[in-house]
Amino acid sequence: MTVSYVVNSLASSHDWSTLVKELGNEDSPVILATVQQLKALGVQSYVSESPYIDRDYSADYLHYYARTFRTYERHCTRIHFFSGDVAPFLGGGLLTSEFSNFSRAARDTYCGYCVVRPLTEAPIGRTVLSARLRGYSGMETTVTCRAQFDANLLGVELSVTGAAFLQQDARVGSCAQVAIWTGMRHMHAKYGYDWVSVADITRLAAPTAPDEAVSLPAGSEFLSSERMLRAIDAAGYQPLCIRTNCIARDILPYVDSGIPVIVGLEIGEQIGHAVTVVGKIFTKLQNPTNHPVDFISAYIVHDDQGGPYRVLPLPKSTGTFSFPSGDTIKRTNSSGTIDINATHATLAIVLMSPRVFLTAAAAEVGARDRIEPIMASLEQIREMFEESDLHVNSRLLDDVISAYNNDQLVLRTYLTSAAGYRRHIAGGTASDELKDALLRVHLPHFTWITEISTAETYNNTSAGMRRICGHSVIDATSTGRGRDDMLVLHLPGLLFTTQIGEDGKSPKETISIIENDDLYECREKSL
Amino acid sequence: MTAKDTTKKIDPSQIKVDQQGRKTLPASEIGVSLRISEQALKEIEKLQQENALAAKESLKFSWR
Repeated sequence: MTVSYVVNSLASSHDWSTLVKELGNEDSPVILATVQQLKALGVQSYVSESPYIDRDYSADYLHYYARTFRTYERHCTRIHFFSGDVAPFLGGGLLTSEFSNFSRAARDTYCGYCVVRPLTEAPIGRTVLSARLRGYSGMETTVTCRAQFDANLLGVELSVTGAAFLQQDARVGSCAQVAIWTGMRHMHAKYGYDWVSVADITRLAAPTAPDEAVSLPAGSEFLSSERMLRAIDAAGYQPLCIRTNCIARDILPYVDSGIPVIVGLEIGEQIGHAVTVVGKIFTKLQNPTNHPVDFISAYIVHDDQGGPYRVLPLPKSTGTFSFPSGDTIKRTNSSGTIDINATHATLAIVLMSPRVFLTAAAAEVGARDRIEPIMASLEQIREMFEESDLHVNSRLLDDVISAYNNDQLVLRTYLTSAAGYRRHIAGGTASDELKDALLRVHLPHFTWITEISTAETYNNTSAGMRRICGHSVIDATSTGRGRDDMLVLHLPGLLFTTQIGEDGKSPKETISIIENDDLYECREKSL
Repeated sequence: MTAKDTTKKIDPSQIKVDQQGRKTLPASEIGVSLRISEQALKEIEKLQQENALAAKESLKFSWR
């Protein structure tokens, strides 16, 4: 058996039509969204690799298709996409002399791949397309859940950074399994969590009550929230449920942390729809507020029935932010087709590490509880310092005190590892003195960071231009209720640190004076 | 949470210079403590209880 590699250019609309036919049904929203992303990436050519043995499809095949009377194809086709034209290198036989040219061109222009399953109703298998998304005026689009995925094509190691997508195959699983799969595949690629297939998730979500055991294969039609939680727990994560009156606001710290969030959308029917949030769209505001969520115009979601990198608009003071109709997700219910937005979200489930013991909500309250009272007395603290001949950056202090007094202080919270935090500090624009002090602090593996900025310094479309004047570090492995969970609090010119006391001893809280302090970069997961 | 006595003056003997040349002093010298307040603890408790009650209602919701 040989593997065929067919290369095609995408120069004309006819070429694109040919590609759509290779992907499957041209009316499928998933295929339309996939093609839309390929066009946004400037794809100029593709290589179809067939037959291709896909591990995910093989798992579905083993659990379902191999057991049916009808015979299903066992092999898939994998299509690789390039933003350059690789056709000239593969037109004839691949000669050694040409290999290095092909290798270089392929690596430099690789945009990802799409596994096409031999299933007419659900052809789009595991697909990873580059997370460089189309831009919107005055906005910054960031796929926060992105990881490097590798592929080997004709001996060339290719890699793409994105979020893995899968179309729902209703015979083996529902949107709930695919939403979990999307999150877990990211965690596998990024942090080495276990590899799981849709079939594994269905097995882990085994029915334990009569109302859960009403479809065959079990779980193929829908999953209850309870079964989703069971599957997530059994796969080695801590499922964290969020069901508040503003889910869009309350999931933001997790999205900012690059943690997958599954969102349940209720659309006026008995059974809702689940999607996975993989990113966000930041918008510069005309009248900036002190609420981080007000700067978010939409979340980026993978919708197993709508396609990869779809837009889920957030509400604003009047209505919701508007995006081109072809970019958002739609669902049809008894009253017709509706545009889905974040107000339809009624439940969120976060895939948390088993090593984190503090929620974002608790970390935010804890950070605000320390920051605001100190802010309120910064003027007096400055006077005390001046009397003792201790000097801090007055201009920065004036700005931050003014922002606090005018409700313009923005507190933004996210989870990070100690290594990620130190990497950001070391490579960032904080003053050398501050860097030196921060890099010497002993930290747990996970911490909640709350960045402090003013609405003015935060309100910038480009993440690289957003500036903070301080931040706090809270131990994410603590209960958040003790004396020693806040490890660091940096305010202009002042660095508070807590040295955790040994058993029974009080923690030691110290202030260091940072004389040449200045604004520094916030942390964003921009490409 | 901070509890400040802003009429207080910093005791000069408490100001030290660390190995990196930074001036340091105990946070208590300016009346600041990083200990979480009782009010914040109650707020966390309230948020968690509200979320737990609401989440319980969603257990039987189904998704497809």
